[in-house]
Amino acid sequence: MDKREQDVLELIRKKTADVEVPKSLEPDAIERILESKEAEKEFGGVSGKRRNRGAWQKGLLAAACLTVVAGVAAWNLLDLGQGNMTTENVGNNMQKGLEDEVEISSSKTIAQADSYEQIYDYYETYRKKMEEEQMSYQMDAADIGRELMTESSDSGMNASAGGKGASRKEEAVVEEYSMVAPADTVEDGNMDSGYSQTNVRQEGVDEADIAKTDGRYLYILEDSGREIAVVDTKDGNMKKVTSVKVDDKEYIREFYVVPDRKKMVLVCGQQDGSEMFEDPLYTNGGIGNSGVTMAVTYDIKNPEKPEKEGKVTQSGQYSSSRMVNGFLYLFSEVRIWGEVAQNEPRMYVPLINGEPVSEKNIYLPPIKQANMYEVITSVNINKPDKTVDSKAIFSKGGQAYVSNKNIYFYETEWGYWNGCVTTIRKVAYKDGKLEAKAQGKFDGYLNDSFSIDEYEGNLRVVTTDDDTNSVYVLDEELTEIGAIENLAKDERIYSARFMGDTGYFVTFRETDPLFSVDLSDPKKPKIIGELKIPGFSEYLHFYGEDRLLGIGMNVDEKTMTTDGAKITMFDISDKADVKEKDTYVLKNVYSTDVAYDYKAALVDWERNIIGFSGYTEGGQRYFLFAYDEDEGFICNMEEDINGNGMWVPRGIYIGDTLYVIQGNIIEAYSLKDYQKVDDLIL
Amino acid sequence: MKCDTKTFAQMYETVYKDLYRFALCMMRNPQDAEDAVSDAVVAAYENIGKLKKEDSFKSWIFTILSNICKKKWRSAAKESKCTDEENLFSGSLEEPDMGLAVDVRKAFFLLEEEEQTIIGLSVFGGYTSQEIGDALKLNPNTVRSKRSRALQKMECVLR
Repeated sequence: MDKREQDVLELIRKKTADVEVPKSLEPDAIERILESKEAEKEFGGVSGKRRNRGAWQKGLLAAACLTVVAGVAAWNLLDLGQGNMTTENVGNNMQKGLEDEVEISSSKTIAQADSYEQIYDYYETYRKKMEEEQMSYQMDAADIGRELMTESSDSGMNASAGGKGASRKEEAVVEEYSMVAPADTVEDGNMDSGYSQTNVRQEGVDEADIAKTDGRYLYILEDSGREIAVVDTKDGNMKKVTSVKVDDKEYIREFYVVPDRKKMVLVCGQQDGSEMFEDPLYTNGGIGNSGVTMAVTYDIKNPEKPEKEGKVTQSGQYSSSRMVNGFLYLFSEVRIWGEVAQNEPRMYVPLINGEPVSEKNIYLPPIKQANMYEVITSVNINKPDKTVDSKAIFSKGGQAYVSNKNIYFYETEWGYWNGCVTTIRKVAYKDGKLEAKAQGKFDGYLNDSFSIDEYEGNLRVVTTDDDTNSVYVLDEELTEIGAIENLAKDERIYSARFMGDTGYFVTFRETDPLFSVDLSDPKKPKIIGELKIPGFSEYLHFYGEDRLLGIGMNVDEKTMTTDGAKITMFDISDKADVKEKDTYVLKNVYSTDVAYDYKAALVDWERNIIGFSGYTEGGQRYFLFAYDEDEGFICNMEEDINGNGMWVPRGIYIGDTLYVIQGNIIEAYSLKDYQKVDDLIL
Repeated sequence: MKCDTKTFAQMYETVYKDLYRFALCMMRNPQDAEDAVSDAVVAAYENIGKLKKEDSFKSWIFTILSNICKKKWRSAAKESKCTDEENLFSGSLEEPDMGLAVDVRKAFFLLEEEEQTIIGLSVFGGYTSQEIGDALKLNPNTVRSKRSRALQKMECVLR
């Protein structure tokens, strides 16, 4: 979940915090009710039944009027409500194994759609399946209803779903990572290091961000989401020189600055909550309200006077993007809703610049049902009003990892009770051209895009499946050629990083084993090292030669609770005997942003800078460390972040100045004495 | 697990405020929310033998509560003939004494039923997408994208 989403959740939490709970629901009142129920039971329980039924029916009546209030959602219910509760598909659906649930094609080739009808069929299959599930789900609720009325205790309330969920709680210390996946490291980052660049998944593949620099100007997405401020940092004084605004109803999600081509590319979304009431497509089904994603390119030969050059649009919500050799690859996610008419492809096929994607550019999933598309388009930023190529990957929702040559789109099929399989589709890209290459699958799911890595044509993944972990190597055709399975039972992968022939990954339950795996023979991957230390690393970053930096949480071994953030430097000079060289615990910090947003990391070993933001009781702080072989980590800076905004703070340096950006406030610090030298409110 | 009324009440005490807030957001009417919670409590108490670990109590009772809310909605939708849309936005929203801030109510209005459950479980139940997936029998990726979409809608109203 990204910061923005967390903030909205937090806001709802805050706004409901002072809701008063009726007296009748106070624990002692409840206890009394339960006691009297017990007493009734002892006396034959007839009155108990009656009262319950009374309560239940009263609920129904009250709920009947509620439709007026809850009507917005009711049109969906009306549909679903009609599905009468037949019992057949219920039990079946629940206990089936993953293999019975879905059939995954074993073809190695990505299928292209022949016709829109085919797309329609896949979607209909999906929709029917969901309806069945809804029905079985309804049955669970119905069971509870029946139990309330009859006090029978043997019909199946779905307790295990809850129980299973809860048992995962402890692992949920780190939630999932952002949807926007990917990258290999910038281990050596920014060679001509006058200034820092966005921390990316894959070296050589640029990613968009909310703050960028070209070495002199800072470009910052303002908290309104509508404007990019251009700030001149010349002579150490920050001055806002201009800003680029977008139209009403458009929001800037992220952007690129490409100094060598003198371009700035804004990735924008269009949405407005109130409009969906008027949108007939939304209520009738279709892709109507999936939103629109666009790329707007500006010329910044003179950064103080950006000039708009062109724009492309595509259906869907922005999911991610990449920039390689002057080509933008833009990913958006489109969902199909409700019922659609087969003879109206515009209802269920994504649009690129207003036109439906052609059949042959739609890649069918290896499972014959789907309700989402990952729309990928490319744009030559020198000709920014034209889409070079476009594909729509038909799916049920997944993520992408982008290597230097290929886009890997992966999605996980979850079993209801156990096991999961990740299917993967590989699309090559070059100078804007996109081409389907292969598809394959492996067991388990990926923690994030650092768990998947292409090297010399092969793909290596570290996965978690139920309670064990595995390493798989797939060849160019995505056929599995090597594997290590059943690693670290009862643990789960927290972070991973690959470098050349070696992979490192962290699993966690009680201690933090850092595994090293030798992949030099792709057919025979081998675990060569396992280092156990307390706590866990959530983000790994190579730090110069033979050093691996881990940022994560420390865990108190007695109480098994996290008691602060920690940074660790591992000595990986001997891959088979990795050592914990130094660890620094930030006792008062209860989480860091790097854990779920790698772009929040400012790590540059040549400048010897490790910067990131963390949360303390007193609010958000920015930390800046240096690392010394003898003295270990040196904390050069720990400063309150005074800005406040929807996004995660960023640290950027230009020359000897560090800029800490949060919301509309930029605070500048000298990298010589770490004193604050300037600030600016946008 | 085995459990007497006192132990149950103790477990309940740790979650009841969140249960009620969740129900209020789902049902939007204090009376229905109250009914939903008390139904859930009775169902949970009677089935407590099926709960394996005390640790799981919270997510277990939340799952029950969300099922009950869902059930109530369904029945409501089925039985109700009144679909006067005028009421949706004008009258009913102004109704006083709903116990819930107007913008929060509006924000929940924007959501589909399933989205409401997802958001409710995230906010009040502290569920992760994986756990929501387990409880609602949805693909966790789907949960994530639904949650993200729902939050975007809500953000427009809450900001």
